[in-house]
Amino acid sequence: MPIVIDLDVMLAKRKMSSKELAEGIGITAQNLSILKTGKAKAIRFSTLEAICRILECQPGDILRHE
Amino acid sequence: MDTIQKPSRRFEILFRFLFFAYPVFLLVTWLAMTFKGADPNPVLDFSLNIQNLNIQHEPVLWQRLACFGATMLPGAALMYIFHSLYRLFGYYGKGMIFCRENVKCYRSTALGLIIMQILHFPEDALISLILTATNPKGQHVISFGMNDTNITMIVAGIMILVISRIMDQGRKLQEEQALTV
Repeated sequence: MPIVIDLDVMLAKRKMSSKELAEGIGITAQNLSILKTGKAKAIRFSTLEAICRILECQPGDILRHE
Repeated sequence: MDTIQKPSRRFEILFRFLFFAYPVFLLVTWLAMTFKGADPNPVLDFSLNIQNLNIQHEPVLWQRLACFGATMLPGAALMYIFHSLYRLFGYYGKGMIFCRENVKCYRSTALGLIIMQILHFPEDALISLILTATNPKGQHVISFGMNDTNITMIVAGIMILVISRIMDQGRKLQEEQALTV
């Protein structure tokens, strides 16, 4: 998948664990893992908005095109 | 999910029973059937048109067993259909609705249905030959035939093949949905 989601860098900057992020977004740790490992085929805008709100970042900070 | 799983389990049991019962039923029918002076078994007469064969002697054991073997040509295809159907309803009973295995079951059922109609040709020919084998010279019969039921079943098989493609699309949509966060 040419679109890559870099959550680890932001999680490290915000000193937050994946579990805390998943709970904050309202998705399961499994679903977050699908996102982190690049297996996701699509992401909802509502999920992207929730990630940006919790990590206090812009979509461009976590989305990258290879 | 209950509206699918509960009846599916019952159908799974039904088709599993039919898979084992069908050949036994056929064998018993061929061994017990009377020919002379009585109407042949309507279940078999439906596809075989035995009345037109001019069977002059009550068939002996080898003829009955050979006819059973010939009937098992499309019969094996029907057993394959029962096998595919009990696997399909088994998956539905477990709550697996759109999955690769289900698509395979639909395809197997469709192919089984089509092949079963094709196998009726050699079945008819063999049975007519076997049943008239003990007739006097010049009165052996070999019969071929196709009726509207065969055509209808072939059309039904093609329709089920199309349905299997629709189920495959459903599977792809479900897989994509599962990987949408």
